Amino acid sequence: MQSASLFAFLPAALKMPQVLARWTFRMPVAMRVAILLAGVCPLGWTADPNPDANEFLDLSIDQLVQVEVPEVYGASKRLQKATEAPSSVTVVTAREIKLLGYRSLGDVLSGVRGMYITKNRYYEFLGVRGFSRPGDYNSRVLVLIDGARTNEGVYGGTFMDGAFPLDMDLIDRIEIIRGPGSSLYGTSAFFAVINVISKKAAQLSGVQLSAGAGSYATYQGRTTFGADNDTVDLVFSGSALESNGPSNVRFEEIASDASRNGGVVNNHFALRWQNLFVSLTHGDFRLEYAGSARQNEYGTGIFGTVFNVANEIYDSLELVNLQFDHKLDAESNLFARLGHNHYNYWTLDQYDYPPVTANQDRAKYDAVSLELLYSTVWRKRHKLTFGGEYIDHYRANMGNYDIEPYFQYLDVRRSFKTWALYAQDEWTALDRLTINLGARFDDIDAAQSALNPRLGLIYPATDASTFKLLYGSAFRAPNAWERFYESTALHKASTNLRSEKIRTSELVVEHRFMPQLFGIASVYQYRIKDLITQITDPNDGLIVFTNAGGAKSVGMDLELQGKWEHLEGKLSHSYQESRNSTGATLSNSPRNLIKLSLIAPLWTERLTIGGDIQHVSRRLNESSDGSQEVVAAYTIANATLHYDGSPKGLDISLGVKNLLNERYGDPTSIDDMADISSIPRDGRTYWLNLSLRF
Amino acid sequence: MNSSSRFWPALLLTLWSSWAEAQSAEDKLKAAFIYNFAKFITWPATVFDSRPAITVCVLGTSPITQAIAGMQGRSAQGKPIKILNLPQNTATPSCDITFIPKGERVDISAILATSRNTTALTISDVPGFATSGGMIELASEDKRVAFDVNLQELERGGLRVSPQLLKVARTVQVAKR
Repeated sequence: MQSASLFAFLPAALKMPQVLARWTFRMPVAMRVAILLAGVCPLGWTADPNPDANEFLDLSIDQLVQVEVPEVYGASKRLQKATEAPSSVTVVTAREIKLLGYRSLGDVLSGVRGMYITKNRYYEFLGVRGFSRPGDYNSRVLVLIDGARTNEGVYGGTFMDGAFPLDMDLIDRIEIIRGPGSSLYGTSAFFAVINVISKKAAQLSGVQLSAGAGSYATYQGRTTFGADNDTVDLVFSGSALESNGPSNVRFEEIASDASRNGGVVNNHFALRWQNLFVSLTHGDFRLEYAGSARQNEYGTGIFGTVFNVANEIYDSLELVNLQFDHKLDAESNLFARLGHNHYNYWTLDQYDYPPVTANQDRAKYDAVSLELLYSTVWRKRHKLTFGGEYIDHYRANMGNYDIEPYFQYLDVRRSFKTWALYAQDEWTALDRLTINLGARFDDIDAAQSALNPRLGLIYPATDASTFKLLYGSAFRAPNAWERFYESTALHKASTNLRSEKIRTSELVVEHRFMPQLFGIASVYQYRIKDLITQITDPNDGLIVFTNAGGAKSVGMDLELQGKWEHLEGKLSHSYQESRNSTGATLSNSPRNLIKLSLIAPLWTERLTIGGDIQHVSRRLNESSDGSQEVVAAYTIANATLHYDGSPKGLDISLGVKNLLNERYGDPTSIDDMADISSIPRDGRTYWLNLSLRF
Repeated sequence: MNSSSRFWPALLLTLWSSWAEAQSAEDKLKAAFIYNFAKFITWPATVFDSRPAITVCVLGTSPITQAIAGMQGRSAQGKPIKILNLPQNTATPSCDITFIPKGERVDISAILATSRNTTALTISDVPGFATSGGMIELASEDKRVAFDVNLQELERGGLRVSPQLLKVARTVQVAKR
């Protein structure tokens, strides 16, 4: 596989100058940035010979006891070191988000090993392990905010863009836990669980004002207030963004079609979003609100809408959670969460029936949930966790109607209930071997059930190496859309729909080569069955969902993480081959993903340059007429200069996305116009941000 | 050959051109604790009169030695800090602070027995260190690093802890009279 080239390189290194000269000509332009960055770093060292970069040395003892060391919560629903988690885990910290200039959850995940984002200028979709299915509204990844589910219950989806409720500046860290997570989390934890953890009041104390401006007349602002004293921690923060969006997006494949404006969408990608976050902690209690609303225009002709007009889409998520986290004794803990989730969606679309008619598609979802979790240690060697969850999805409504003349196609008002019980044992079986055993039973509407086990063997063979052998299964329950969508003379509700299932086996090796250099290698295979697919029933001609087909995948991830005094970085290569049940390669499934990110100080510790390079190999699209075309590979580079004015003062950040102005696009799905194969992504864009703390 | 394979050479190039020293956050944090102990613990009055430096000894070769080396060049007790990296099972009388990193295969009781006749401050992040005769134990508590102080042992060595430290120490064992 690709790693072979690593060894092939070694002899070549002896002839470094010639090799370097040849590469600079042969390699893709984005590659030259890597070399450039590598060249910049030594420059920084000569200018800043200060060997003492331990930022903690100047802290007082009172401050030191407050500093937090990175750990993972989401993998086992308790805090543990990433190397002890029964998964291959990546943690992205606030520092990386800031210094690499990530401005959305999608930005962050694009830079993570084995993940890729597809944008159709309508939504953003996360691909994991070669799987990113058209019409999948991120329903096979579970995204949590502080442990609480963000995926709504109508489409099962969540958001990677401005509709994600937590501002990037309020994130303390993002835990990316790969592999099936249903043994703890139930539905949606199919390929990965992503737990986004908010900053606490102590990290945000005082007032922060932030303002930014960038390409496409984009403006963003944020106000944050944080206060903590002995009894109460409070965070209050609001953000908003407005953007005109790109003014001329070109679809070259239909450039000759005058009826579609020569394939150009002129000015119909305006975007705005707002979000609000409030958290209040008092003793064992924590109350948290996270809400967002995003509205954007799209003129791409998706779903058969009119091309090059300002169709609109609105999505809003609001989560309220009351948590009680109580330490019973040194080893036992009781956790309870009462939550409410609200989701609201509508579109305002132009369809040419003819005549051109405005149509609205809507969905509304509300749920109340209760989760209880008890953890304890039994006979010193067993860390036990028992939990239960009950969710009353009391509103799952969908509607669709023409506005003028009014005609209603669809008015579905349903509700459903789920409950689950789970248990987990982290058993220190031998001195070094830990066995992680868990299972969860889910019941949906007393009609469907799922039992999902997980087995992990975690063996730190030496002080430097850990081996993890993992097996698990997960499911995705059919959502309200798939079960209940029923329209006049076109769709019928789907009865007897089963859950999608996945079984994954994985071997992970983590090795510390030296204090500064950490490597992860993982080999996995998964098998999916009962994929939920839309078909036309030959008996009555109605569109219905059914369980049809599956997928098989084999893949490998390699990652190196280095952290030196004046340079930190991550480099990863993911290779995978995924096929459907007929043996054909899946659409939107890149074989190779390569990511490189580097952060280095320039002259002083306060001024840093951060940059990343992302390579996504070629992918197939999927057209509604059944044809498939190849969408070209791409490599993009992003860079951010950041000046840190902490603890009080001005932070300045200047970022460039798609530095080398690579022209690239993402594969279309069956929802898009059949005669285009890709949706263009943005060229080079700039972003300047000022953030003041006082 | 796939175009993507050209990234690997770039990686090596980057790594090779950037060999420098750095440490994990947890190690740096622990080093900062040790530095604070060096500053806020009072040794018997005459100890440093005859010494040119305050010597911090680190046993073994665990990664934390690098983080502790970052203290070199700073000062405490009015003297420059000197870092001494010692083999696993040795602790010499010239150590003012002896740090025993966890993960080292050392005989803690033997080292403590050697140190007991000196004025050395013993610190370790081995679990149970403070209750088994060590002076200060650095412990991971949730995401943070906390420390336990064994006042009885400190008193035996003639060391006094500042009220600032005691205020944030996690558990303090009261010296028996």
